Amino acid sequence: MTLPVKLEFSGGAELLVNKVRSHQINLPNNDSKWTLRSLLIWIRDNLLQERPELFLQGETVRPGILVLVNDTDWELLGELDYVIQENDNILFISTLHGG
Amino acid sequence: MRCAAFGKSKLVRDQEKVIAAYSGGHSSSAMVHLIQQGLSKRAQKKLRFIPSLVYIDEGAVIDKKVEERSSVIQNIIQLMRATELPYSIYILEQSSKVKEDDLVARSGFPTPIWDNNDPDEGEITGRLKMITSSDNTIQKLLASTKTLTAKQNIVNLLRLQLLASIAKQQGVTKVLLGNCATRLSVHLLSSIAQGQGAHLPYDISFADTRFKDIILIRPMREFTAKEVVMYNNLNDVKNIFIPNLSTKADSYSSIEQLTEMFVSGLQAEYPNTVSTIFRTGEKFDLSKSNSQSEQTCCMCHRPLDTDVGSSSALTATRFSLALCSKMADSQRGHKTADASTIAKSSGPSTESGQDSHRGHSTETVVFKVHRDIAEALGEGYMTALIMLDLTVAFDVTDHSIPRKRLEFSFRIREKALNLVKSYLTDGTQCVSVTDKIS
Repeated sequence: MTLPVKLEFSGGAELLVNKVRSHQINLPNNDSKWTLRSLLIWIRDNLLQERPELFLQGETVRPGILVLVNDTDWELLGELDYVIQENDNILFISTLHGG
Repeated sequence: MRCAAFGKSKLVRDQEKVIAAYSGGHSSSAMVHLIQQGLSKRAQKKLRFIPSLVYIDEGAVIDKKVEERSSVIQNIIQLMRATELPYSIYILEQSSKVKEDDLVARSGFPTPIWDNNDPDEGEITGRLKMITSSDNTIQKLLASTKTLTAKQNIVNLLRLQLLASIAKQQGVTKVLLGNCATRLSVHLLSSIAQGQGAHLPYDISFADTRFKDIILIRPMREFTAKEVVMYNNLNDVKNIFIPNLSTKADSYSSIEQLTEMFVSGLQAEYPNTVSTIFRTGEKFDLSKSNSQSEQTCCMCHRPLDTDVGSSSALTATRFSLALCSKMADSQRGHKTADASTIAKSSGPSTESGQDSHRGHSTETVVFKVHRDIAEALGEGYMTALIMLDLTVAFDVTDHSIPRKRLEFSFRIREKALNLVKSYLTDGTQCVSVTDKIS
């Protein structure tokens, strides 16, 4: 069973994903549960068009990019270990100057 | 919330007109939203000034086409119209012009290329074309600079100049800027790195008085970028992303980029980083500064600090520069010479190792030497400078460390490594005077 989620990129982060702000995606079946950690890897492999270092740093997002899950800061949800639920709305906002 | 700051500072009088600089970005959008809230009837403490929005298009900076710029401007117009505040649009080209390799302020006042009284948006492209076709000052100016750091500085200064002249033209004495605490902290550290520490109070204070008759106000300076973005997100404040010079730039491409990476990286781990930097920066005070110079810089309008005594950082830097260029020359000779170094002392041109005093940077040492010389000259002593590089003679460095680093981190092996090794070890040092060698 696939997992539908909505990804949004703004503040300049959208430039790295084909300049499209909103992505409605279905995460493919996975042996283990989908977490933000595995989602970031999925984004790197499937969505990022260029320069992944402008979005990711190590296995997490680059400092200065905010991650909100259903309008809640991911720091409150366990960051990378948060288990993604169905129809989650995950927002990546760059606060960096120039995106 | 910010009404408190306005109320406390009593800077803006009742019914006074102010300009809010709007860029479409997170911070200025939040500022405009806060102003709207403050003006609405429901607000507990009403803002009593009359705001209007100003947008400055900087498309020229990244060589955008007229069509692209005009579509950005139309998006901006939609956002500004939604605020129901009066607005006007200018372009960065209106800021200044180049005349015989020198920047001069344009005669007369800039007129907006668009404002809320203009009915037909189709004309924007035409007006943009009219100005940009005859004027490529900005491109010329930016092309004449070598680094991204310089480019970013120039754009910042031109923008401020233009804002000041717009304010004059509209007969307004207060300009609201949207800089948030994170931006200001980055700016603070990077301007210290660029030797502009004396002028920090202008750049980060709540009320910036560099233009004398126009006051720049930074109402957003207490909020971090994260708070601003959260505010926008929760209040559904629309903003627009417009690429600028630093878009997709490498972290190492300019001092500002590097500082931003440093600050945001530290902020991620220690959430107090920005406020600590910012509060520390706030302690700089103009009233205690020594420079009471009447002259101001034509670009940034801050007082010049070049009129200083002979033992100052500025002269020391100049001296250091002169000395270092000589050192670099002699260093080049040094490397091609045999491992046994011969130190010749002839006048001020001397040879020196790169790490002449352990625990002190070369620069500190140069400063100290310069001060000693200046003092001695002042007291009328004969002064001579002899510099000896004794690090090789005493062989105090542990050469195995850099060698291992070369081998394991940079994969330099065999012949190349041996070459470095033979250069570093078993060196002798002597002094030769005419044909005698010590």
